[in-house]
Amino acid sequence: MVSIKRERMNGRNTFIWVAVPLLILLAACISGEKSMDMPEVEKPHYYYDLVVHEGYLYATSPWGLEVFSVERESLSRVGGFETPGEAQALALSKDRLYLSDTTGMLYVFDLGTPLPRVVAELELNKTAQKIVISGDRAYLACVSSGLVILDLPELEEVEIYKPRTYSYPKGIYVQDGRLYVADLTMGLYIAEVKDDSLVLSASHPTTSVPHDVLVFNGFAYVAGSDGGVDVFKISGNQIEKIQNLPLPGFALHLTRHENYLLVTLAGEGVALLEIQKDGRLGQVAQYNTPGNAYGIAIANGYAYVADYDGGIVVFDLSRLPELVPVAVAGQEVDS
Amino acid sequence: MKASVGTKVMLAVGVIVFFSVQGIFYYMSESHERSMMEQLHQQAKSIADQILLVRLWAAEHRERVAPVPAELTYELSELSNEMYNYKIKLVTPKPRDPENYPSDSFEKRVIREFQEGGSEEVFAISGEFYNYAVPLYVEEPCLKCHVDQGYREGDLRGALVVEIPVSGVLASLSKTRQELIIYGFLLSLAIMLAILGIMRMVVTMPLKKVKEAALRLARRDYSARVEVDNEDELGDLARVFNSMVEELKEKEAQVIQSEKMATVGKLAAGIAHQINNPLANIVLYSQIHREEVKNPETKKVLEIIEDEASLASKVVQGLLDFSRQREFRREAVQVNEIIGKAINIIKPQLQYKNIKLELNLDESLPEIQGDSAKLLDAFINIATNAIDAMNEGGKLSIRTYRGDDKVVVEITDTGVGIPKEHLSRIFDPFFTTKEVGKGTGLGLYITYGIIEKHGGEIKVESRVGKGTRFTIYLPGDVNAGDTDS
Repeated sequence: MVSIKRERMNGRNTFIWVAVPLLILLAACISGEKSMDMPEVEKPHYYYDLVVHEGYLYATSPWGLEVFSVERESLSRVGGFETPGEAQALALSKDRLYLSDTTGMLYVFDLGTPLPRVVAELELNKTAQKIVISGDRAYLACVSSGLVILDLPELEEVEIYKPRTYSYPKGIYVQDGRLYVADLTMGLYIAEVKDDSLVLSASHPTTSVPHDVLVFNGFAYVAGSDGGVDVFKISGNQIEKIQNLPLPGFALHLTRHENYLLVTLAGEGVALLEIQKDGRLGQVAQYNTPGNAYGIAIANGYAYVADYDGGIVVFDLSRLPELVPVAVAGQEVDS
Repeated sequence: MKASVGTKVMLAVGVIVFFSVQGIFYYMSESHERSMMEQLHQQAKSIADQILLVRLWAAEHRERVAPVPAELTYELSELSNEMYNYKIKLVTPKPRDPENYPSDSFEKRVIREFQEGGSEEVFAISGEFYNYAVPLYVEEPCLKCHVDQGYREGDLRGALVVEIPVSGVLASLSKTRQELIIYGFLLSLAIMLAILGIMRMVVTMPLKKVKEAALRLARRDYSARVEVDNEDELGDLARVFNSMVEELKEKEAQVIQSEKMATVGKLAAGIAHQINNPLANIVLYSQIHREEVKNPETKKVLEIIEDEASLASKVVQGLLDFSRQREFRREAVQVNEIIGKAINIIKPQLQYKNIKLELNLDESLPEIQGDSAKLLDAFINIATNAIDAMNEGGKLSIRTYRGDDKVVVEITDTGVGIPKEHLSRIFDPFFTTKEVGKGTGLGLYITYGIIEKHGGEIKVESRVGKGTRFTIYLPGDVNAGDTDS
């Protein structure tokens, strides 16, 4: 009896001695992947850029990435990811979220789970102010370095493209195998994607310093800081500037909803511009947000504006051309 | 350990000089370093100001300037590094380029201080570089490019850091400091040696001469003199020393003379008592016998015996007079009166020898305290000697006058004079140059004793063939005479 009991005891002990380390090892492996739990931060929630994907809104802030669940105009913070530098640009592609920060890191998140987790990170040593993805390539507008081309499957840098010595890409738009680039010095330039490399096909100066570009119906619209929005007619390799629409503040980002362009104006809110049949623009409305309107994204009939220290301002696009916010979120400060 | 005054002074002054020189050189070195650092600071500040201007201009003229201010800063830094070996860097907590993050401790400190808003500039030497930083604020033109970073006009953008290599400057400062230490040491050494040399010349050597003379004086070598020509305290010391030696020499001569006379006096007193009565008897019996004898030759012999015995008796009487401790009668006496009495006594001899008398008496002479009889003896003795020295006429001058607290009597003759070798002996007892039987050799000896008794002095100057002068100094209340008159 005694010996049997001892055997049972020994078996249970063996199980404990094997199972506990395995559990610890498993926990360690799981925790090795960076958690998306909201860090306990006491920093104010400012926002630079944002994207919306399947019920979640991802916004960059000086301390990292913040995640909100979105239901119509209602936003609720659900988590975050702290970056070593200030989180800057965001891009979405196939359940992957790409995030750059000012330390030159590029993080890749898997959005396949309710809360995204980091699946890769790349030391670029360059900070992307805008990321655009086309096929297996990501194009990163790094003001200080040039246009960086990444091979996404391999997650490695393929090339840095600079059509001129002094070239500072800030905004990118990809359409039909062409890159439209808003460059701080060159203005607007078009580069053809040929055999995984870029070839400059045309360029045109802008009224002021360009930050973003959007192409629609053969017209390129460039948000040009204190120069408002420039309208260029694109014909093959010909670029013709057909309009400059002065706007208050600093025009930074553009997004389109039907025949409207929404332009964020740092310091002056959001402007609603109507795209006319000849491609020209006419200002329809403007709403001055409480903060500095930077990034803008449209999803589910709403426009979400990263208003820096003004939180995230939500506009109901069904009410256009009336431009009135329906909600402001993300301003509360964690204790 | 025995050390000379020169060595002690040299060491004391040397230590003071060494530390003073080192202190001055240290101050110079520090001042030089401060000056160099100030130059570096001004240079860095000037560079930073110019870069800020360039950046601002480039930001304001974006349409005319291809590179953005950040790249302009970077390229200017590259160029200045290539040409002048200094660097310019933009550091910011919100960089476009990760390279612009504050990287080292200085840059982090700079950003922290500027964020706290406490500094207008920060500078420090870190490693081999002089780092200088000024805050960089967002100005209106900057917003064209940087508005999307959360900036508003007036916000802190970061810092402009100027990095100037100072290894050369530090090496130069180090070399200068080392040179100053060496030069300071050499200068101190040179000053010490110079002081030693000067001390030797000015102090040690004269003191050594004084010391050697003092040692010779200790051996009673009165020819010892200090030959120092310095017109300073040491020269004064040497002169005082020489004067002291002179006085010592005289005093010792006087002491010897006094001792000699005291000895002779005691001896004479003893002998005189023993031989005076026999001599008196010889004279008496010679006189008696001379009157009784008829033989002229015997009479002549007795006469000679009587004369010689009388002479011997005079000598004995003189000795007795000198040695006799007769009460010294101190009374107020007028020297001129005593001289008058003496002249009356010697006047026949002057006339007999055709000697001219010249009197020059100060009628305002004060009275002195003394013994008039003894002073009369003294003056007669000197005058008699003077008359004896003038065989073929001459002049005897007697002069009285007031000296410093003294009544002075000069008795001068134009006689044969006294040879130099005799001068030191004329006051000795029994010393005489007169022919045998003419002098006792006690006159000046007695005179010396009388003057000494009065607390006075007697000096003699003589030139052979020219004459002799005796000068007698008698203490007297010279001012009393003035009051009386």
